[in-house]
Formats: sequence, structure tokens, C-alpha cells
Amino acid sequence: MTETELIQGLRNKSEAAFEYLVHAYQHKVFNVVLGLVQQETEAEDLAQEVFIQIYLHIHSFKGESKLSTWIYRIATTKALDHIRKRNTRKRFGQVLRIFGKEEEVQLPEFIHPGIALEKKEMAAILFQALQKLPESQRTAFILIKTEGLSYEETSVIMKTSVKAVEAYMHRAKQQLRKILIANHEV
Amino acid sequence: MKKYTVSEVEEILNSIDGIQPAEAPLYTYSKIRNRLEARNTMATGFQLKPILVIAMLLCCIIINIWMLSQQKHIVNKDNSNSSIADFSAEYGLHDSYTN
Repeated sequence: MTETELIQGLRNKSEAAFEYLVHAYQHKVFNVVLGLVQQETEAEDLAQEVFIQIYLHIHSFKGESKLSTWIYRIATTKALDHIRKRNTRKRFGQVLRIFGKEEEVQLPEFIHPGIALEKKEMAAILFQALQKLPESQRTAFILIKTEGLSYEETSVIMKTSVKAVEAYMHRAKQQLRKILIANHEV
Repeated sequence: MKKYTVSEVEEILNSIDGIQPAEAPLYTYSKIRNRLEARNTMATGFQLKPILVIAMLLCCIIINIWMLSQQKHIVNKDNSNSSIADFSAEYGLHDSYTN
């Protein structure tokens, strides 16, 4: 099925086209969302929401970019929104804890399933440090490092220039070094 | 508080190299279809709401009409005991009209 046929099928609410789309993109969407939210059940739930959004809003896809770019954009936006909500809940929980109304809930250590066994411990430290990066740096890092996208593809997804993505990556690495060396227990 | 040396930091940064993409859990498509069907059912449930709203509005209108008719009935009853002449005399309207 070509991309044009797929898009047309989705616009016509074709079951076969939707099934094809899910099978073609489920791993990519899950991998990106998982890299960002670092929690498997939440990532599964968000990945499903991404496909539901595609199914319901395919008419808003103008065809100005590739379908995969549009899907990656929806996935990253959903994941970042989720992280923002989680951080808000965390801050609210901290306020409640001051009044002794809620106990602190820590996210479990995240071990990416695609990491080689001997690197799992180191990678867990890296993923924890990644949570402290600004959204743009974190998104660029995840898309390039875990999804293996090029700087150009990442720039289209993030609606920015290649130079900006290069700068995000450079700053992300610098920031991670600072976090790990200087003063944080990660 | 754990601090890392420069070489350890580089090792941590490089630990992600060669990472394999994570695979989506099994039956993703079926789970999505179930969620879509659940949404459609909810949407159908939501469509019943305007019917309820219209029914409630109709009830309000009927009650209002009934109340107004009752009010009119009471006013008519009161008017049977007095006349317009009494009313104008009481407020001195008669003179002003005749002059």
C-alpha cells in the first residue's frame, strides 16, 4: 500500500488501512513515547491514544510533510503533554505532603528494553538524567539516539532548522555531563 | 550523593549507543479497536443527553404555562369584586381623564 493509498483509506475510515497503519507504525510510536515518558504502561496507553488521534483527525493532515513525520509529531506532543501533567501532579503532591496529606510516589527506575544487558545500569542513570533536560533537548536526544532518526528528519518533526537540532544535541550532551559530574545523585 | 568521574560520565553517555528500538506490546491493534468502540458507545450515550435536556425544558415550559394560567385565574377572581371605576376613583384618575 502506498502512502497516498493509505491516507485515502484512512480518510474513508477503511478498517484495512487503519490496521495497516497500526502495524506499520506501532513500534516507532511506542519507542519514541517510551523514551520520553520512561514508563511502559503509560507509554502503551499513550501510543494507543496517538493512533486514535490519527484515526479521528486524519482530515487535518494536509500532506505538507510525510505521514511518518506527522505521526512522530503527534507522538512527541502527546508524550510531552503527559510529562507536563505528571510534573504538575508531582508539584501538587509536594504541596499536599507539606500538609501531610499525601505520600511521595517515586517513578520506578527505567530500563529501556532495547539496551544491551551489560549497559543497562549505565543507561538507567542516563535516562534518569534525561528527565532533567528541557523538552526540546530531550526530544531531539530521544529521536536521534533511540529512534535513530537523522538531524534533518528530527528538524522537520520538531518544526525547526537542522542547525537548531544540532544545537539542542550539543547542549543536551553538555547539560547531561554537568548533571552527572557536578551535583546530582542520579 | 553519588558523583561520577569524567570517564564514568562518558561511559554513561555512550551506554545508549547501539540501542535497539523497543517493540510495542502484543495486540496493540485490538486494544486500539476496543478503545475506539468504547468511545463510540460513550458518544452514543452522550447523544441521549440533549433528549433529556429537551424533555426537562418542555417540563419547565408546561409548569410555567400552568402557573401563568393559575395566576390569571386568581387575578380574574379579584377583578370580579371591584370595578375599573373604583380603581380610577381611588387613584384620582377620573378627574384627570375628564379634564
